[in-house]
Amino acid sequence: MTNIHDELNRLTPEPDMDFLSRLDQQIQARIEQEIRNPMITTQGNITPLFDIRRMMLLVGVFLMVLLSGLLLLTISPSPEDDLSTSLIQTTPTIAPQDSCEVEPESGWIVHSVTEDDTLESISQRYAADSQKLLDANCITEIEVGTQLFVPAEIGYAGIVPEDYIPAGVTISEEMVTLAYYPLPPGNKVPKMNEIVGSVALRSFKPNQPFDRDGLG
Amino acid sequence: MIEELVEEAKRNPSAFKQLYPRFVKQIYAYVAYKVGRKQDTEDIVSETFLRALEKIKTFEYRGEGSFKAWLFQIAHYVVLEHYRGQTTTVDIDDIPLIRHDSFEDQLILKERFMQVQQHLQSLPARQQEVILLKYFGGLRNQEIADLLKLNERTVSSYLSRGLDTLQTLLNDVEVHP
Repeated sequence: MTNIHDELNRLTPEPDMDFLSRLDQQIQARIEQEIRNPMITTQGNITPLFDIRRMMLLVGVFLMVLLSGLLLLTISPSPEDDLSTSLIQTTPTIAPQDSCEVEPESGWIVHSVTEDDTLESISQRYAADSQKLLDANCITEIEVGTQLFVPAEIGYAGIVPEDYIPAGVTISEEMVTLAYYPLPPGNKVPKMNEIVGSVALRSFKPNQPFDRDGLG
Repeated sequence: MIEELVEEAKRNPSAFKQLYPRFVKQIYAYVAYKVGRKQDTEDIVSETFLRALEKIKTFEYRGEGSFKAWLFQIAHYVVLEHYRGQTTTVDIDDIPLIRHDSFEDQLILKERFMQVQQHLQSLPARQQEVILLKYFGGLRNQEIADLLKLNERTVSSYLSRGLDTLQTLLNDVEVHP
């Protein structure tokens, strides 16, 4: 009588060398594919630029803005309505001056604020102006957990991990490399070290004012 | 060690090449028992690791064994996607290679594997899963319990009941060949 434990331990299917080498090639190809498309996201990870969730978020926000606009239109007082005019009329005249609406534009980055973040670190990371950053989000200071919209005018920017820097591009040790997307028309980006596909890489010295003007 | 590699692979996909080979054999054996056929096993194992590479940024390390458990979870779903409950008959030529430490003939080992695999398929899904994760995944009962959202006692009971049934089925074959 065969013991089932021995039998299970004895009968272990295993991959052959052909398969292992094919698998390795497939994995390598997928890794290269990821590296060719270095996309910058909130936590410095690399994900597709046109991340579906990001697109959906933007579409969602857009729809909400649109709907609230429609709602305001429908409830705005009509001059003929004598009874309601006195009650509601003040609201629309004051609101536009004080209200601040977050209206993210295509290409903006969404950053989840963590404990390690400061306003300066976020601004520097995305090469965004810190006051603009606050204004765009209708806030005066950042809080941990906030989903911050980063108005990155030139597109995406972020620190590129060393391994993403393509072979042949020499990056000085005290420099940090940023990636930009999308490229301006004609791919003419001054002061760039390298353009890889649709992404431009540029090095700069950390802790120095970021020269936005040099980016075309 | 695994944790460091996982964290590194999240930042840099190239590190995945050092990570995944540690789990290929276990995932392969687990999938082979689920699907039987060599070609299907290879397709599913490839898909499992490619998917893991793609999703690794979403993985959260929760102690030893958590990454392996996550891989098995992916493999489980990929199998489900491929099969959706249908069973196929497998020819001896389509059976994957069986590890052999002795001088046993591959053909005999493959035939025996086919029998055990078919008996395993006849067990209730949970019992089957627990046995596969235990024997071929090398997971501890607690890790299996976490993965399948069961308590540890239930896992032990599925394991002993499943093995008893398997033992009976195998003995029957021996008595009435």
